[in-house]
Amino acid sequence: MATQLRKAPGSGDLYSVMELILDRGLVIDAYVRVSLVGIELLTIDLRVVVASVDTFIRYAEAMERLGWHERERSPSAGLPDMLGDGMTSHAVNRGSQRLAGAISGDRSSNGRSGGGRSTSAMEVAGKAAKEGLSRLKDSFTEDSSDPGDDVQDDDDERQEMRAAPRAARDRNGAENHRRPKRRGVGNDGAGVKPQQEMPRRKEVRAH
Amino acid sequence: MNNSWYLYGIVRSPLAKTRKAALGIGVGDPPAKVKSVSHQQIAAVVSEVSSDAPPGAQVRGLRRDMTAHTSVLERLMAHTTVLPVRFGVCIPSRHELVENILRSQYDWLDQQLERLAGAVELTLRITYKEDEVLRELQQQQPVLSGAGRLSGTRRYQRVTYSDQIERGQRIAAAVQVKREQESQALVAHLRPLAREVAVSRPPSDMTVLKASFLVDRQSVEQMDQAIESLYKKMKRLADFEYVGPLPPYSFASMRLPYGG
Repeated sequence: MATQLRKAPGSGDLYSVMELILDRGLVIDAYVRVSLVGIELLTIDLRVVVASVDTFIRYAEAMERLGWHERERSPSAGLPDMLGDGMTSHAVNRGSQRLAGAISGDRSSNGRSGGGRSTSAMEVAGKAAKEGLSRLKDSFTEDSSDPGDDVQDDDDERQEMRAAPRAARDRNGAENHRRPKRRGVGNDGAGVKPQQEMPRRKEVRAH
Repeated sequence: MNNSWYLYGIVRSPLAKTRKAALGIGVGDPPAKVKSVSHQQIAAVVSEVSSDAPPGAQVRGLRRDMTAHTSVLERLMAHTTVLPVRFGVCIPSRHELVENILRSQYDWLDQQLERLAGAVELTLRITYKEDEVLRELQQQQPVLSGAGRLSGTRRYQRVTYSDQIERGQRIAAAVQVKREQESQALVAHLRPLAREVAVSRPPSDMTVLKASFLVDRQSVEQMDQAIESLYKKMKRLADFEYVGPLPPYSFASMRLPYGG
């Protein structure tokens, strides 16, 4: 019984085999004569960076966004309730502060951050994150011109809660402006892999 | 006239007449006729390329030539076992082809063809859908999602920023644990269905598994069924990319020493 899941390689999609013919197969060192300069660049681009500051920020924001979605769905903690019930919003805020405190406690002990399991790439990225922090922050504050910024100065907590998800999304939007620059190479088939990831991300943003 | 021999792969010799006819055309523009050069019971599958030709006609790292390369190998694979050669290998003369490769490496090439006889490659790549896996992690480990941010004030952005990086690191670590566990379970489950398994380093932090399987031709259907049922279980969380049958590139990844 034929399966629809498996793709035959000849179905016009060169990308799935490109990595195989460039990176694998029998190599006879002295005889690689075809001009492969462009191919070497292509091969490097195929090896996507594993962890980076952008990735960490994206995860944290995605989690927050998902957290908000969950809250909106549940009737007892929906935004309308927050706006309508001063006591509820206050209680939620208090809870957040306690949780944040617990997390800061974690941070200092370094126990729960999965220290033993962190890859060296992540440690390096963590250091780079601290070093590049102000630079990134500057570009973010430059980019964001949304009303959310004005609201930050407002002491009304409820307005802040309402603006926060939107601010998060705007920051993501700003981030997306910078992202294509980082990808770099994009000739012929070379751009296929990075672009393969982009549509997936766009899908996410549409929520 | 400076002709080289572009090498696609190594096969058993002799090639049946029908297979010779199926060799077809290969790299270059205009595409050259694909031939075989035999030595005892092995043969090199080649086509002539001229280094005197204008650049457009030579073999280059272009879609055109890469497609031709894979097409030749896939045509061969339909009929026989092929030891695929990496893209871009040109032997300067027929003499060198026979002496330095077919004759001097005969035993090794013969052994590889035995090892790969009757088998094809199937590749599998399983990648998490980011939002879905984060949502699942959040449900299992609620503390990962944090709870908004620290008390909001004018310093909102600055304080939250470094918090977010650390939180993101923790999430990334949780994703890594999850995908490593899942990857090991998947390989253990599928390994018995294949002759050999080659697991690659995950190209991204959302990759659960990137692997190639060397599978008997008659076991391909069984592998299909196993992967289909995995897909049914995992499709909410992950995308599957499953390709084949392919010539066994990942199981021929060796450096042949030059000469003797």
